[in-house]
Amino acid sequence: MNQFPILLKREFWEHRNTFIVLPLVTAGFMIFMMVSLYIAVDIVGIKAHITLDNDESSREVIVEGGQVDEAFDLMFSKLSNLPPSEREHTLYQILHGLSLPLLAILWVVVFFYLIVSLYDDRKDRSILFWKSMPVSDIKTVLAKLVTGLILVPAVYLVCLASVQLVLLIVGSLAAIGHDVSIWAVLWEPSHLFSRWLTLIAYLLFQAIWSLPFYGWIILVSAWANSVPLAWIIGIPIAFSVVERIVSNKNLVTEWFADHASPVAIAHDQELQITDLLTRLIDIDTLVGLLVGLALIAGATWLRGRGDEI
Amino acid sequence: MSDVVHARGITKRFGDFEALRDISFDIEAGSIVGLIGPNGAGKTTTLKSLLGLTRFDGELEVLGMDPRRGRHEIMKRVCFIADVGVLPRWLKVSDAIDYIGGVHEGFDRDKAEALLRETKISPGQKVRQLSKGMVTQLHLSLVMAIEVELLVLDEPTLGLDILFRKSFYDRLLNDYFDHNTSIVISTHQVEEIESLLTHLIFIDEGQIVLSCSMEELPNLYSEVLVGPENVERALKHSPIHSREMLGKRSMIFENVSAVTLGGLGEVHTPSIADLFVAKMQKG
Repeated sequence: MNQFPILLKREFWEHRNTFIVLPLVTAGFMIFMMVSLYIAVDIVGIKAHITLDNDESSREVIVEGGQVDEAFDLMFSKLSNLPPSEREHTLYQILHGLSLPLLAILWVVVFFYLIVSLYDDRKDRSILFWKSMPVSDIKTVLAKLVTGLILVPAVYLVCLASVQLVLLIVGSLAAIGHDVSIWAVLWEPSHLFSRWLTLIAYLLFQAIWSLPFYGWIILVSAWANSVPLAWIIGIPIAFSVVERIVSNKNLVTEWFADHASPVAIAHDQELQITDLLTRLIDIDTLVGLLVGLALIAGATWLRGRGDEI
Repeated sequence: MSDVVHARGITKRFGDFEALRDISFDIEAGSIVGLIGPNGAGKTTTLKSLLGLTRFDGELEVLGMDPRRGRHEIMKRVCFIADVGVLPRWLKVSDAIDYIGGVHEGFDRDKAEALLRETKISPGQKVRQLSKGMVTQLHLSLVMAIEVELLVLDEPTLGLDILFRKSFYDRLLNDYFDHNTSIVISTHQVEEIESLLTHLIFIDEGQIVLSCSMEELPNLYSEVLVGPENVERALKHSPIHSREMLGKRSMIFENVSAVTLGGLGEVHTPSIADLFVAKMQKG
């Protein structure tokens, strides 16, 4: 009997608000803002204030009723006059910037989900129900990790991809009647599909790269009898102080912090799949993977002994 | 008949406190065992040990398996209801059915739905919307639809009103029990399960103070209403319990034959509640 599908479903029942409702509402809000802005400016023709930036100059255009075409003209002509690589980069920055809110929320949601994943059911005593079912502890722990590290990111990814898609559609609608090739200026240089694939690769890489961090959270979640968040943050801080005193450096702490940071958010450079491959085969990733697996094994062991608290 | 539970020398410590002190017992297949003791006697710890939900020392076999290894294997053949309210509050009734159907091979979905139709619980409700009594009804309906060899109930009716308690045990006995399943029930409300039981285990301060079948009980324990003129004579047989009752003395004797006691007054088998009080106050 394959129990895994229902174990994953169970996680979505419990955390429906943060796994489904929150990303949908966030994406919906962003789409609503884009569409209403477009309607307001292009169709209704209200007064708008558009700032255009490029390397040399910054120009402000005040748009009123009938002048809106002029502004779009300027915007699209600027975009089409850029050298291809810069055009790609400009579009990348716009699209990536648009995905940042959802990526940031995703990181927070997964963090808090893992904190409570093996803690809340001990607190509310429902562990006695879950453990009365013929589900092994390792399956329970893996279902939670697969949910947090793969399924929830997938939901957020679909949402942010929709937002990007709507932006390009709105942009295309705005470009109608202007002397630009929508495909050449907007769609082709956006490389939407390859950008999405790259982001998928990054989120999967995050699951491996941050496994020591996630493993640590889920270990504490299985162990702590109160305030798991305080232990999750407090123990590494205490450790860093001890490490500083003993070795005068913070090598281990920095290593851990490095693995705890989201890989797809903080970036001056574009996300590149080639970077990822180099990082994937790096010894640092492998060590992290092993540490992560050990922590997950520890969490499973603790789950086996876990009781109501 | 084989034993579904075989326990020898089970000991459990919480720090310095010994929750279970070297307890041994067997549970025969097809029996209904009452595990009876005051609060803090070790009932829950004993049951949790059976299910692999807590650690302990000693030798324990449940359906031929050691619960310390592979709790999930044992749970394929054992069901457990801890006292009211261990179903998570966010769980929807229909989702609970889907969940058990998805993890438990012995679960009969149609049966669960039929059982739930007999109650006021609707599939779209969440556990948080149900009263305490309804949550217990829900849990019992779900468990009754699972075919298992051993059902463990830990204070299943604690805090419920008398109507719920009565219907709980009625359903359990009439709709569920079929002699293929053994049942262990822990409680301190002795009277309510008296008529159900085939076996009795009294536990106090982590030790078993009595373990026998209901059939053996009349041979082991007798209660005699002794008139004032016979009190002296009766005391020579060292009753384990004695109390004033309507100007006479009600005495409970252990291992004293009914023939011997016949001369002292009317002899009958003590109720479990009276026997419980007698055993708990002894010493």
